[in-house]
Amino acid sequence: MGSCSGGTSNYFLDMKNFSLRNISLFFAGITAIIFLHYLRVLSPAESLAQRALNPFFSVFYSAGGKLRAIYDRQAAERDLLAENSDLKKQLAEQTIEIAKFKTIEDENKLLREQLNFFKAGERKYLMVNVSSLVSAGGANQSFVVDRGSADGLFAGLPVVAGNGMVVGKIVETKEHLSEACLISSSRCQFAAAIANQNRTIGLAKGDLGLTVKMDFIPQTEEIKAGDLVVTSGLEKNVPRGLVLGKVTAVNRSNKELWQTAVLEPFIDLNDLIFAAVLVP
Amino acid sequence: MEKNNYKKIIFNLLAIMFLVFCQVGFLSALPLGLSDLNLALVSIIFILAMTDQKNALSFSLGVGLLMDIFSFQPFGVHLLSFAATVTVLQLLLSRYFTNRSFYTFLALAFSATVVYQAAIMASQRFFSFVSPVEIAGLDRQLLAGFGRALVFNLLFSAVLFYALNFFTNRFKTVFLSKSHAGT
Repeated sequence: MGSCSGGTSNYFLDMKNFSLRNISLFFAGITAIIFLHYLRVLSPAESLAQRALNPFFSVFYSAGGKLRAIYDRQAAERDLLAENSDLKKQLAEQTIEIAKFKTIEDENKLLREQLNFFKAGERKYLMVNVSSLVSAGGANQSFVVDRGSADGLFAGLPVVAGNGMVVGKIVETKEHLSEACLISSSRCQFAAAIANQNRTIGLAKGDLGLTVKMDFIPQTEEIKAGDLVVTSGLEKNVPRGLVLGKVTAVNRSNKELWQTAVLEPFIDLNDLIFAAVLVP
Repeated sequence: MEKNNYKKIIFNLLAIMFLVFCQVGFLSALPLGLSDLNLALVSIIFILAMTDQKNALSFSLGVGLLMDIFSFQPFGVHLLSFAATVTVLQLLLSRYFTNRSFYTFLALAFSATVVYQAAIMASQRFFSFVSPVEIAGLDRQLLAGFGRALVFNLLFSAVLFYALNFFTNRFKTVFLSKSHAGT
């Protein structure tokens, strides 16, 4: 033991282990790699690595997602959770139905030629696997999917979950990867409309990774908790009538030019393993 | 090159890929802020302490490169941050720590987390000139995330230290016992 101890002390006390020459060479190597990346010399190798390793990330993410789902299930009463889940599913289905109905009703009145625009079957979409979540400050802000610019994706395309609810928007693409902001992230904003009689428009923007705030709503508009909020169609590549969430609170002050509404998005991260990107 | 060297290289490559899959894929999906645990960083600390600087730098190069390829931060942020952290840790190990006790590892994990976070922020700002990206300011959310990273990294280091104690005696030679001192 005594000799071992001596060896350990030597290891830590002598400076041979801290070789300035090795460190300098290493940093020179890193600098060269970074330069080669920005000169796009490494692009083929990076692209190959992305294609080859993407499935592994999806598998690991899926395993983590399952653990999270187990934790979530145990956090609540089992029966209550099941009932809650059923009700949420029903609510989601009905919400989509209402959104479709309202949108088609409006279109009937205004633009008969666009009557079939909102039929889900006519929308072009690309199914994607979620590879990882990116969080900042404890809140999930964005997620990475396994399709990129080579598959025709580009910044600005909306991402919807399996049940048809908007979960985010593509913000950046690589050849075989894309990053999408979550709807609740402050990086994410949509031109939105409240599905009321006046089809009040505004801007829906994520708030602290938790909720969505709808801003720039004129003071004269009547909005109330429970109103459904959908995309307005005023934004390029984002069709009308995609469900963003429902109003949970309205902030109105006479001193302000606009009123704001707090929305509850319909995101369930446990279900976010697959998603669809709506392409033009 | 000897056959053993090839084996070692392949093993290291697989270990690097496994670390990155765990960090980017698995941990990012976990609840309770567990995604703030920097598994790759803690592993590199132990590799540095258990083997040598060369191995730790190789791991930091591999992990940094893969994380840069798969992240949407400007390319180079992870490479430089891991390399800077390993360099500072090696300096600390060589100059200030005289043993490999439990407290040494906690101090290393603490230092590594602070240095890594600082290096990430510095390199993000440096690379934002080349590749414009939204950079988070030093706000409450970021500090809370940093706090969680510190706690989880320290906890994981402690667990890993005791777990490795079962398999190796590298960490046990801290103090001479009375019986040895007498001989």
